[in-house]
Amino acid sequence: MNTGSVQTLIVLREEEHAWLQDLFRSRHPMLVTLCNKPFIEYLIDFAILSGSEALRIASDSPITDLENYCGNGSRWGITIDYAHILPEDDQERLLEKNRQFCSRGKTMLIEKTLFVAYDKKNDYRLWLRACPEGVAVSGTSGSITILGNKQENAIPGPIPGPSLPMLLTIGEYYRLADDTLKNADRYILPGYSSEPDCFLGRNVVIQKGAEIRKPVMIGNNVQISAGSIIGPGAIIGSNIIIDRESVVSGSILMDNTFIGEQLEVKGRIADGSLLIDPESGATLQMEDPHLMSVIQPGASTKQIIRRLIHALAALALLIVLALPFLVLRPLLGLRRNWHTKKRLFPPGATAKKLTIEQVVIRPEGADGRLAIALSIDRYPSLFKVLGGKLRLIGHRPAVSSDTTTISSGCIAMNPAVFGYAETEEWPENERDELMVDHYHLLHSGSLNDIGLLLKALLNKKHM
Amino acid sequence: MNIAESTINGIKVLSLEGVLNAASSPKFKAYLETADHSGPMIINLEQVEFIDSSGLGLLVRLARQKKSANEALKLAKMNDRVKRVFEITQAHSLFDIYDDIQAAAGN
Repeated sequence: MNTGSVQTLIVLREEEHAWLQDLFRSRHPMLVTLCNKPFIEYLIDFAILSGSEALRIASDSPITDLENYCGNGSRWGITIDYAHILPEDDQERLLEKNRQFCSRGKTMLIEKTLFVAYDKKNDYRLWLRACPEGVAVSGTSGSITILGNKQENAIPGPIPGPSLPMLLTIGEYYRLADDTLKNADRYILPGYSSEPDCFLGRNVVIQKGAEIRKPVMIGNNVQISAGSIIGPGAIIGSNIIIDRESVVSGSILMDNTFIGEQLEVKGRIADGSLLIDPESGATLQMEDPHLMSVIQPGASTKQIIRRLIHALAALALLIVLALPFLVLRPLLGLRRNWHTKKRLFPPGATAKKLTIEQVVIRPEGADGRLAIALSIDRYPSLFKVLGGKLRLIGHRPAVSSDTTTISSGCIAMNPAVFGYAETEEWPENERDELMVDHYHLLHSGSLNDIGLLLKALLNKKHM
Repeated sequence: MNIAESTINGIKVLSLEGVLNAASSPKFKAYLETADHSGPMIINLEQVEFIDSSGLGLLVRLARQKKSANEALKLAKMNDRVKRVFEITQAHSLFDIYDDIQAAAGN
C-alpha cells in the first residue's frame, strides 16, 4: 500500500436521503443546494482540504445527473470517478468492490453524509494524518471512517476535526442553511462578496426601489423588481424572478422559482410552485402561476427538430394505416376485442400529468391478429404525436401496470406511442424495457428514431 | 469481439475485448452455449470498447441464468464507457461490480 496518497470514497445509498429527493422535484439529494451550493460540493471541498487527490462516488442508485454535474473533477483539481454498489452491500463488500481504489493509500470513507461542517482555515491534512484507522467522526447524519494506519510523521496533539450536523428533516435543512449563511467565513461559498454577509451571483438585476437586507445570498440570473424587500436571512437561488413589491425574508428560494407581485414569503422554503413550512414540514402546492411557479427552460433546437420529425412520421403512419383502421376498428368493436385503458403519466407524481389512452386488442380471429400486426392499437395515439403530447418512439408505459419502476435520478422520459424496448427481443419485464428505453433515450437521435420505429413495427414480439 | 478465458481461485474469468453489440452478441452467446460454463463466473470488461442494448441484454440474461442456478456472476474492471451504459440503463443494480479481478475472485 502506498501510504503517501490520500483518497476519499463517498458512499451514497438511495434510501438514506429519499426525504430530500421527494421534496425537491426529484433531483439527486447531493445536487440539492445549501446556500446555493450543491451538497456534493461541500464534500468535495472537505476531501480537497484533507489532501485527497482522488475521489470516488459509489452509489446504489442512478447518479447520471450527479455525474454530469461533477464530471471528472477537473473543475476542482481532483480526480473524480464513479462506482456502483448494491443496496445490500455492507462495508466489507463495499471495500472489496473498490479494493483497487482504496489500495492506493489512506482512504477517507464518507457514509450516509450529505454535509460536512468544516472550517476552510483549518488544515484537515494534519487531522487526517493524525487519525488512526477506524471511525473518526460519527453521528446520526453519517460517519467518516479512516482506512489505513496513522502515519508516523503525524503531528501529536488535538487537531480540530470536522463535524456532521444533524440533517434528517426539512427543519434541520432550513436551520443548517441559516447557520451556514451566518458562518459564511467558514465555507467556500458561491458569489461575489465585497462585504460580510452579502453574496451576489452573476447577472443579478436589482431594480430601483428594491431593498436588500443582510445577511443575504443571491444566485445567478436573478431579477428583483422595484419595491421588493429581500432579507434579512434570504437565500435566493439561481434563475429567479421576484416580482414587484414582494417580501422575501428568512426564506430559501430554490432555483428556477418565480415569485409573483406583492407576495410575502417569510420563514419558508419555496421550490417552483411548492411552498414548504420548514418547522412543520407542511407543503403547499400553489396552483396560481401568477403567485408562484417553476421557471421552465425552453426547448432546444434539437428537441424541436426531433418533435417535428416524430410528427411527420406519425402523419405518414396515420395516412398509411387510415384504411385498415377504418375497416378493422368497427369489426373489433363488434366482437368486443377492442379495449381501452386510461392511465396517468407519470404515475404518482405531483407534477403535471398526462392522460394516456392505451388500446388492447385481443389476438382472436383474423381481424385481431391483423390489427395487431399492423399496430392498429396505436392508431388513436398517433394524433397526440401531432399535437406534441406524445413522442412517436421513446418510453412506452406498460399497459398492464398502473405503477412504474422508473426510479429517481434517471433521465426524464416522455411517454411515446411505440417503445424503444419493442425493438429488442430480450426484455422480459418492465424493468428490462426501461433499460432499453434509457439506453436509446441517451443514444438515439432524430434519424435513429425512424430506424428504431421501423424495427419496432417489424418486431412482432410485442404481439 | 475476442473472448479470453482464464481461472483465478477456481473461478472462471472471461475477458472480453472489443465491441459488445447486436452484431457481436451472437458470437458471445454461441460461446456461452457451446461449452460448460456452470459455476461462478467473472466477466472482465476492461477491454470492452462499447456495449449497446443488445450486449447489455445478453449480460442481463446471463445474470438471470446464474442467479436461477444459484451461482455468482461478477463484473470487473468496467471502464468509463461501459460504466456509463450501466449507469443510464440502471443495469448496475442487477450485478456485483468490482474494480479489481482479484477482489472479485475473493483473493
